[in-house]
Amino acid sequence: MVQAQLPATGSITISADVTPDGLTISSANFLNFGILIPGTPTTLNARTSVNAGKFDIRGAQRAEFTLTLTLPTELRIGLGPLSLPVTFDGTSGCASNRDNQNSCSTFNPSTVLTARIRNRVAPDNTYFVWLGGTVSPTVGQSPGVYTAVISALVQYTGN
Amino acid sequence: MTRSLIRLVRATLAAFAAVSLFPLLADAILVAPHALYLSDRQPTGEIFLVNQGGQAEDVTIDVVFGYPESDSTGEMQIRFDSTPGPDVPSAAGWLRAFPRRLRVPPGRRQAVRIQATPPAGLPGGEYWARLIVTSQPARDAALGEADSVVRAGIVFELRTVTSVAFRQGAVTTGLHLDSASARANGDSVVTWLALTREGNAAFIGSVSFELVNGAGETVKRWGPSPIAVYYGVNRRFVLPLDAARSGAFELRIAISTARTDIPANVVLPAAPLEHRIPVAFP
Repeated sequence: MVQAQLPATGSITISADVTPDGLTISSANFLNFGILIPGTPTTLNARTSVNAGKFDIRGAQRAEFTLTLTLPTELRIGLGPLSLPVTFDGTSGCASNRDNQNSCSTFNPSTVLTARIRNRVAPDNTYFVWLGGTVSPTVGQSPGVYTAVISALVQYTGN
Repeated sequence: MTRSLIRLVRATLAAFAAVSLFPLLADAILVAPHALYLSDRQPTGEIFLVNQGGQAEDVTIDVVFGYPESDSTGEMQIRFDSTPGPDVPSAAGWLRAFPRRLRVPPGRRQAVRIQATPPAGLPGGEYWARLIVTSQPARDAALGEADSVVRAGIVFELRTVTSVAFRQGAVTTGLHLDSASARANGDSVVTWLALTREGNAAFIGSVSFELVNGAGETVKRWGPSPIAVYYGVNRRFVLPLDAARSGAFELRIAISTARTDIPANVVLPAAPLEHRIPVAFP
C-alpha cells in the first residue's frame, strides 16, 4: 500500500513505497502498417511482425486479469470522410508472460483475454500482448495518413 | 464514460498519430492501490497515479458500476453497467474523483482523492464501483500535412480499471460451495467451482489447491490465487501438472479471506471453506 499522505493534486518524486500489486499497462509499439500499395492488402502478423502493436502489462505476481480490446473497423484521415478498412481475425492477437514474440500464443483480439501475471518479482512480473491486423486499401485509395485508435482495458478479476 | 469524451480522446490520438507516424512510445501509468475501501466513517480515500514512462501523461478518471463475474466458459470478466438500476448496490452515482483530469509528469506520482457522498438513509451494506483510469501521452493535437502516399497505423488508448467499495453500517460476507468437480485432462486437472456469496458484502479472498496421493503426500500445489465473489460465480480452473501422474489422487481445495495485496483492516472475516474431490489419473 501507499503510505504517504499527499494533497489531492500534489506531485512528488516516486519513492519505493508504491505497492508492487498495482496494475500497469503500457504500449511499446503502435500497429504500424507503414506505406501501403493501393489495391494490395497489408497484414501485420502478431507473432512475427516487428511492426505489430505491443502491450506490456505488469502487476501482482500470479494475479489474474482480463484485457479487453475495442477494435476499429476502419482507419481515417484525421476526422474526415476518407477511410481504409481494417480487419482482425482469430490469430491477430498473441500473448505471453515472457517478452518473446515468436513463442507467444495467438488469440482472437475481439474476445476478452483472461490471463495471469508472470509469477516473478518485479521487473519480471509481466505479461505481453502483440496485436496484428489487415488493412485493405482500394486501387483508388486516396493518399494520406490513415489512423485509428484501439482501446485497451485491463483489470484484475480478484477484487 | 461519455461518448463525447471517447470521441475527443480518439480524435486527439488520431491527430497526434497523423503528425508522426509512429514514434516508439512507452507510456505507462501505474494505478495503486488496485482496490480502495471507503465507509460511512471514512468516506474519502486516495489513489495514486505513477507515471513510469518518459513523457507526461494526460489522465482521465471515470467512475462506473461494475463487478467481476464468470461467463459460460468459467472465465472471469468484469460486468459494467453505465445505467445501473435501483436494485443493484452501485456507488458510481455518488463517488467523485478530484481531480478528474490531470497531467502526470514523467517520473512523478500524483494523488487523486476519491470522495463518497452517499444519499441520506442509505441502507446498510456494501456498494461497488470501478474507477477507469484512461491515459495517453500529453501532446498538442495538430493535423499533419498532405502526403503523396497511403500510410496507415493504429494507436492505443490505455485504460486501467480498479475497484472501489463503500461500506455502510455493518457488513458481512461468506461463501457457500454449491458444487465442485475435478477431472484429469492430459497434463492438467480441470476444476469447476460454483460459489455463492453470503452476507451483504463481496467475498474477497484467495483459493488454493493441493493434489494429494494415496499416501497422503502433497505432490503439487497451486495458488494461493485471488478470488472475488460479488454475487455468485461458476469458475473453471485449469491446474497444470509438472509431471505425469497415474492412479488415485485427491484434490484439496481451500478458500479463505487471506490476501497479501489488500490491507488486513479492510478484509472482511469469513469462515474458511475446504473441500476434497477424488481425481483418478489413467
